[in-house]
Amino acid sequence: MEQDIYLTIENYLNDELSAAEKTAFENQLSVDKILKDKVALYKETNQFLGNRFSKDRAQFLENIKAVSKASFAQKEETKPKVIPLQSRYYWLVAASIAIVMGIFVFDSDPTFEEYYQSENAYFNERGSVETDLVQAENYFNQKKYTEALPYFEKVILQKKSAEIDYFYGLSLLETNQLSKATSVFKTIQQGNSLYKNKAIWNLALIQLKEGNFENCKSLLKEIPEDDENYEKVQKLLNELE
Amino acid sequence: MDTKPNHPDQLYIEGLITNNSSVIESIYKKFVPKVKSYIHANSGDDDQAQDVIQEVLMVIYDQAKTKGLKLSCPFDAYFFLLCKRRWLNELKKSSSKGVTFLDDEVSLNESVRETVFQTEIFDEKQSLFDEMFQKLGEKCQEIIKLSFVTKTMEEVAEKLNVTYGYVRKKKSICTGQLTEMIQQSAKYQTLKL
Repeated sequence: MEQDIYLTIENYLNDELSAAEKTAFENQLSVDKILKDKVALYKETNQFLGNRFSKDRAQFLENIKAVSKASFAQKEETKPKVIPLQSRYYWLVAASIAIVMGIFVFDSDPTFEEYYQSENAYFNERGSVETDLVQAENYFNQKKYTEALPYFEKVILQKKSAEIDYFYGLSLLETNQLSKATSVFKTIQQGNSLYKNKAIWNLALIQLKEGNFENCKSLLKEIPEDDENYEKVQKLLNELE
Repeated sequence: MDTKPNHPDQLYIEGLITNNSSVIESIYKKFVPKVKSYIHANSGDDDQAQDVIQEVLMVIYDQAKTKGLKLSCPFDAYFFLLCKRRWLNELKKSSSKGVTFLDDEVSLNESVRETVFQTEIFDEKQSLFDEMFQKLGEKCQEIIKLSFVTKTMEEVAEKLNVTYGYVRKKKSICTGQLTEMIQQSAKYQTLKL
């Protein structure tokens, strides 16, 4: 029967065949490639299953979950402490609020600064060779955008990547080279990478910065509703209507 | 015979497979924040970050335990790239448009890329095994699980109230069935197991 072979395989792998049986089986294996592959796969399957259902693995998983929970919870607790204000300073607070409200009333248009958020680049691992890309990344993350630019310019000549282009665009934006930034983002917009919608968002923000509200709005409308950042897009659109 | 000295970061792999709490905590302290920031900057939240990180650590553990894993690059880079790619893959699944970001992979270090590639191949293999296992009948799943969880097959026979000979035979047949399902799957062909 076909299924009997599996018990033989199991016994063979566990070294539970008699010497004679073992020799016979190994002879078979040397001529029967299909059987040989079957045995190899059976052995591998046992390996996978053995790990999958081991107690060690279950304990490890428990431990990871616990450390993870503690680690992520910790971050939330490091919020700045709220120190109660002495009553004599309340007038200061009231005055400040009044001033801020006054500014708010006069400054009703949305601004670039309100919506632009800087981010970090993660092209490379730490400790790698000092290539141009590493320099670009380091300067970028230190917000030294002017210093980062020449390195980006060198890299984009050698490597075609929407990710690099995107951060190059951000560097141009941060150093107020808006028309150059626009053309970089436009290239990404025409592609189909993960950075497409982010590029459109930044194009919209550039239009906002230049006071071209209509252009800004039409760009924002190009961002699909299922984009994860759609909340921000919607908020800005609402403010511009 | 492996005569190459271990990369200093091999200790992280050792620590994971021995369930060493201080190594695990060190990983969370030193390497997780960067992953967390990346995921936040790419439309993810804390819960999603936690999941990605746990899943990646489990794959690393499984690969190290099943096949062995020798690092030839810093753990930092390897771990980050695995998490980053896993997250981007998640985004790709939920996005309706075709995303070609995998071509944007920028990591220049050959060693990191190679190690990440090996781990991702292992992950795909393991997913295939898991998927096929779930398709086995309940009795088969039970007997296989018990045979690995319980110390001896005699104990398994007792638990199931059958003979020793029966469980041995049945376990081998079930495992055989599993291998057949794996062999016949389309994924097996592409993975060239």
